[in-house]
Amino acid sequence: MGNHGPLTASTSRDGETMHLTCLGSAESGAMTQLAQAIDGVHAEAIGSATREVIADIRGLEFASSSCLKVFVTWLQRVKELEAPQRYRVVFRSNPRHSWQRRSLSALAAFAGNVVAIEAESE
Amino acid sequence: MSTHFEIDAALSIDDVPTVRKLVERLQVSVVADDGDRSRIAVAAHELLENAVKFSTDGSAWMRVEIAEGTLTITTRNRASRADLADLSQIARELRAAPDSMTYYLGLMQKAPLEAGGLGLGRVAAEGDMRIALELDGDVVVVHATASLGGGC
Repeated sequence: MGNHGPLTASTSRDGETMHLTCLGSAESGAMTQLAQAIDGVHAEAIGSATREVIADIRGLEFASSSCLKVFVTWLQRVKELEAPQRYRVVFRSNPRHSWQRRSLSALAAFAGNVVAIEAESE
Repeated sequence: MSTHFEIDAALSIDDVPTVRKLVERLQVSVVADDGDRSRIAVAAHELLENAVKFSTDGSAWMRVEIAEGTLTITTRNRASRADLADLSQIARELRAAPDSMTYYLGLMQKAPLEAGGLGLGRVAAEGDMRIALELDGDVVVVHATASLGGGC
């Protein structure tokens, strides 16, 4: 799965699970777009019975540190939620994009209690 | 086998992805490991983006050199006194941290509250690179070095 275009971020819901799908390249100029998409997911997740958000980044070719910071800020907000509202964030990753392995390991170390990582088999 | 790539130009932030992709493409014949190629490209991106972002005259210089299993990325730019002080502080904090991942996680902890970025922490921790700064007047030179072959 590869997409070398600009970032696209879309959301959907399936029962108690929300999906955030990111494709393309999350360059620094896309930070506001990514933040808006994540703000929307977070607001909907805490306003509804959401147990899990699946962040599918398998098609995300690259993320700059500015965009990683958006993910970090999101995870911090999830960590700070009271237990009834707190949801789990599952990152679906693509081992062919090896930056994802390194960055997601760091995100998991940062927020291991709310983050899970699923790697697509090669 | 060794190779190097050098750019010295007036750049905008929007040019940085183009340079990253070029750096990644040029390594194909020299760096066998996909993980290493990705690591180099990400580090080059973050270091060049910082150099461009903080440049006071719009210019930035970067050299990426791979020789005898060692990667060296060097950037140079002019910066404001405030940004030079911030960079010096980052260098001190990196040196004082028990390891680069601890430093990086500390940056993440502060990220929602502070304007500063994760770039140098990312290069140090995810790229497993040693970072050193040289300041000369209003010029800052950042050296980042790593051994290749680990993949990561």
